[in-house]
Amino acid sequence: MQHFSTPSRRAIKTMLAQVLSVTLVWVLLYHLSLWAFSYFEYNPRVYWVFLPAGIRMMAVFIFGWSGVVGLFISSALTNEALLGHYVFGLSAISALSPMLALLVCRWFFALPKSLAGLSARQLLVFALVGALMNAVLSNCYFFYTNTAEFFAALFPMFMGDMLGTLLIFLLVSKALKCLSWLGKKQVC
Amino acid sequence: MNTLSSSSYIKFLNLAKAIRELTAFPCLNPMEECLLNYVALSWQADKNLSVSETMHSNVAMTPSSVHRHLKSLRIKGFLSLTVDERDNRIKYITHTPLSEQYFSMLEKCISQTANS
Repeated sequence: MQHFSTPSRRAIKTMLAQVLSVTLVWVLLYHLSLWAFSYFEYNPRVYWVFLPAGIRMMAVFIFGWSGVVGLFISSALTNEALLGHYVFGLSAISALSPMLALLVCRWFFALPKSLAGLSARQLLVFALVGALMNAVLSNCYFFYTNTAEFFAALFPMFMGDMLGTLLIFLLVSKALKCLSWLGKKQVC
Repeated sequence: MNTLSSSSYIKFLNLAKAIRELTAFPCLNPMEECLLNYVALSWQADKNLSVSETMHSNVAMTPSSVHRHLKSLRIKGFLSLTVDERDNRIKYITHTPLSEQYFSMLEKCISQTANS
């Protein structure tokens, strides 16, 4: 009788945990973004500030393809459209565009898989490329499915993703500073 | 050791480091700090300090080192150069919003330390 080796079971559990955590954080941020920035709505699908965009980049940075799966599931869960294939297409774009941006930028900056040597400037370029890819691909899909005019929502979507990502980076930066301050206080 | 979770952790560490750099002040080495403090005294005294004056002043560095560090401070945004109206060869070192922010932050740190 063949037993599954412990490392692969552990790996599957880890991947599931990563998918679940990305999904949870996306759903939470989605509702927070709607609550905080509903005034900045461009149309029911596009906002001038979209917080979950920051999670797109961080999920693929840290979790790779597990992050992509998590993003796909969470995008599908938070998509208010009823058509199955429409939701599938948009969720796939939302999940794959940050991974595409990561692969392109890693090749361009010659960064290793561990992201060692990633600088703040490169991080901003990642965010820009990710926001641009998602906005362009989504707008192409809107046009292909006759749900919007050609590139009508490109700029607001790009700005929404970019601002959302920068806000998330700022929040994470503040959180890291608080953590290190708390750590120093404990030591003292 | 679970290589999948450890590689995610390493990526997280590298990402956190890059995010920290987004909101941090540009790093100054001790020589740059010394030079910035020296030029700040001139700004305080409303004295126009030129690049050549700074290079030949007594800041415990060779003129070429001073020039190199001035260039680095300019790239980091702590100072800018303005050309003299009468002689284009003379460049004066002027402060920037970043240098003002830097010194006010130091002042805040000193006040906090004094009050605690």
